[in-house]
Amino acid sequence: MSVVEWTVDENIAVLSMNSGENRFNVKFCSEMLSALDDIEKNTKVNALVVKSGHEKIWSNGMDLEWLVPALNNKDPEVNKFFKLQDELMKRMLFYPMITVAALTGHAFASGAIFACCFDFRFMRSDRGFLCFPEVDLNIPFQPYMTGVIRKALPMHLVVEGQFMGKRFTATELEKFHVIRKACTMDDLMKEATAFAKSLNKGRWIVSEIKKVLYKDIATLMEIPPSVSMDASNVPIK
Amino acid sequence: MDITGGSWIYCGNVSTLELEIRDRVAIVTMAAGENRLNLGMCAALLNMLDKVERETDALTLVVKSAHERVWCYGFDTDWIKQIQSEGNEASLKEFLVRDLELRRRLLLFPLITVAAINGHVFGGGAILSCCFDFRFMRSDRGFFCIPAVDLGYPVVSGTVALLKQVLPVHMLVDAMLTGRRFTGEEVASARVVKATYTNDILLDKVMEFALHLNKDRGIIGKMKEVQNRHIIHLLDTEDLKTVQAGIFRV
Repeated sequence: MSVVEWTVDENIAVLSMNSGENRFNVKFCSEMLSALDDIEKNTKVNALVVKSGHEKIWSNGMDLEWLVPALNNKDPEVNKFFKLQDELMKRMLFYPMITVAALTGHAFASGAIFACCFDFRFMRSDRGFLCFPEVDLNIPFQPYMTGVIRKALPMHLVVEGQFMGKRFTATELEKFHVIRKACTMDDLMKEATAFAKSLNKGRWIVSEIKKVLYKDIATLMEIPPSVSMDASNVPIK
Repeated sequence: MDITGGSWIYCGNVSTLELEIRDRVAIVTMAAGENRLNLGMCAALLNMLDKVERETDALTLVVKSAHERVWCYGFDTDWIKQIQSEGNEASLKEFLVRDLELRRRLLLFPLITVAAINGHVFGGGAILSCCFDFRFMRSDRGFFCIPAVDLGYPVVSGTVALLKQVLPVHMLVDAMLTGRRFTGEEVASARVVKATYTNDILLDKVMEFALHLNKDRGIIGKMKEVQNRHIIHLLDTEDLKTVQAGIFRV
């Protein structure tokens, strides 16, 4: 099975992230970016739904098993990875069609930030958390990351998410409209794809609106990371 | 923003800030009556924040008031009138700079900060409470109110950015342009405060929350730098100049 697979379903594309826990590393980010290019260039769909092939995890964030030793060894792939990760977040934020994250399981750390880059989120109600554990991992956010979190969450949850590392359930996220709907696992894909199909908005206008709507985040993306990530910061072996 | 060389006319009850440490929580009690903000009160609070950061290993800061129904009543209008009548514009300017410095310090404070609002928060006091990461408020009495429109006190850009961060849009306009008094229940339902409790259990509930946080100072400081950078930017580039130029008049 490839890391990323996608199919066209009427006017939408459904992309499945099939790399186990969908941890972010060079291969994962590259393949996601190239699938997004393919969908944009080779289809006429006007919405994208992204799910996970894993039974309980949508994305668990950065691939720390690879990243921590790579940081320690000053592996040049590390810089390439951070650039690719930023590029993937930016690509999803400004993707020229409506984007829907179908959170089929946990979204943690970079996985949670990635979920916030989508225009809409649906989430399974029976299990799965959205969580930013960076405060306990001692990993600071880049300015644009806080920007996308603030775009998706109301401020009182931003503070709880960032400073407390709170695990948010679908119920709580639905109450504050972070997700559009909490669904049973059986209904999740039906609901997410039905919603995406129903919109049918033109790519050009969606893209133009997003450029303005998320302009503040684009500005934050121009800021170079103020704190470089240091392996000694990360308390995970 | 160092103005320590300035002349001080009135220092208020500056010795009336109390510090208590429980586990890794620093509890500061403001015990200067209605805790009105003047040059002395700002300096005392800034000194206390230095003390908590440098001389304790606390990871969370809780600030409460000793007054039975006021957390902080905002700018000390009597003192402002007095120094204005004396033509002492320098002290007024100095106070406004110090007040900005206090907000800046709280917005970047490397500990999680919790305001235990056990009474009214008015004007500069309400704005000060918005510089904390979390707010809890008593439910039985006490208003959250910014009466700037009635007092004829203009606000600066950083204040608006700060209030935009904490208040929902409908409440922001109401607060700024009508000076409406919000009850604890109203600000809690809008999530401006995390929760409200009757005064007899407020502090226990706040401590229950604070004692379990224990997040490292380094990462909290870095996250606040990122989260509040737009407010700090306005404060440093616009607001400080505005008050130093004497454009901002009260």
